[in-house]
Amino acid sequence: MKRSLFTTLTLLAFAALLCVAPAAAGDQEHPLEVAQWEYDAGGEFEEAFDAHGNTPSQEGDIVERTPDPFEGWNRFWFQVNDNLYFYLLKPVSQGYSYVVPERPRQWVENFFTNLMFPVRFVNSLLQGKFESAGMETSKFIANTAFGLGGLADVASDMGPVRPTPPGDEDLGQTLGAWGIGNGPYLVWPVIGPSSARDTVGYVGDHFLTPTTYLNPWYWSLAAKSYEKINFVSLRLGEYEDIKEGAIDPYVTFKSAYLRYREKKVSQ
Amino acid sequence: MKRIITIGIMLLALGLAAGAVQAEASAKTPTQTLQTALDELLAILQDPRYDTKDGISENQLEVLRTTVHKFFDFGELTKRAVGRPWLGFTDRQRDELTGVFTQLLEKTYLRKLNTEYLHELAAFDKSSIRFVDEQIKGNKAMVYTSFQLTEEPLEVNFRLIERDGQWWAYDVIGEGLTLLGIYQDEFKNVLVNQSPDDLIALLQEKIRAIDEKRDEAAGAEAGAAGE
Repeated sequence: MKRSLFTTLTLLAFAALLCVAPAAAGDQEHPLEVAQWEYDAGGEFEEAFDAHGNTPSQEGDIVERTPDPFEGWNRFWFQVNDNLYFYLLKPVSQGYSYVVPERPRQWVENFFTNLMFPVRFVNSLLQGKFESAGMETSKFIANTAFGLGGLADVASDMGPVRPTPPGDEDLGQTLGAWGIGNGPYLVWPVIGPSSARDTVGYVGDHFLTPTTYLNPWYWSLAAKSYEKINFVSLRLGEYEDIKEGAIDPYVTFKSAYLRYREKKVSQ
Repeated sequence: MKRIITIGIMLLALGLAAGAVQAEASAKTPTQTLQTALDELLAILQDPRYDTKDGISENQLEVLRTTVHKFFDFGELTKRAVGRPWLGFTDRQRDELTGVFTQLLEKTYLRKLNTEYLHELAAFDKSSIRFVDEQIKGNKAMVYTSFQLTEEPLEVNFRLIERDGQWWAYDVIGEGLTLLGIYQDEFKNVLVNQSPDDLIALLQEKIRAIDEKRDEAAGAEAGAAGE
């Protein structure tokens, strides 16, 4: 009986060891070594979800589905814009942000954002987002009347009463929501990355932008340039950050633009 | 004796069953995996023991790195970023590419953390990360979260894969911008007419450039302080 007890205890100990061993081994494993498993040629590169959580499309993702037939033209303007940023826009914005503190610059941004209300309103309506359109209207009225003509964003400071879909719409998104594809990828001077569809959208929105109607034309241009400088002054360093992690910045910005727009359209 | 062996086998079976139950209980869901990892990272970033006046210090970085490697699989990310051509890579090339790519990501994100988010992080707390949803299909999962870092909530999603009972994140998606997707485009653009070794060399060059820039900035600062 003594021997049998011994056998039982040994078996018990063995069983206990079996339970603990895998857990302990898992803890000791160096994290980097985990990556070295065997690769089989099966469906191991397949994704179950795309970037938005949907089933991936057979034709590939948005970048693969958007042709770039004018790559030479696009690369040329990408380079021009890059120089424009580093040799003109950035120094001017840096000087401007040195003279004007951040808060007033935020007010200026609020003012221009408020001014773009017609674009957001019309495009929310065109996409049938009546709730967003209503929200945008009340924000516009509140900010214009109680926020010194839009300098303060009183509506956002109060916080939304209930969740509403984002009202940050433009015509490119509207066309996308209607099922129109990107068409070829395009890079425009000054404006930057775009697509055939978003270019049409840009032109359409141009007519809904109040600063377009300033008279004479150079006031309109000055207002738009100032808006751009103010915008950049609040985002100095972001362009450089993305560019730093890029192997080929042209590819990165194209990929980022198309993916970001796809997300916007889906909202 | 026969009875004893039977009892022994029964006990063994029981032990194995208990072990199985234990493994089941300790296996975390994708959301739990991320929750634990993000809580840990936040705790390290906000740990008062580390002085962040001059950015993230070397030993804090070391702790951060270990924690990230416990839930994020850079091997999986690299493999998927390369895609099919990965099958033609030698083991050395796979390891080297994973190594330099991980280093590049670390350097770019660390700089971003140091220059932009360090002050915001102090005010950031656990409740700022909301776990919105989780979807699982086979051994893949997608976790949807919302980061309230600034006024506007940022939509951040994670793609995960299950291996040996544990979930590993391999992609971060911020507002539709997928880390994996963007580097897929980058790698494809290189590998279309260049070799795996060229890609590795390109990434090494990139890392060198970032280091040089950082040294330059540090040198300029030291020079300004010395004057």
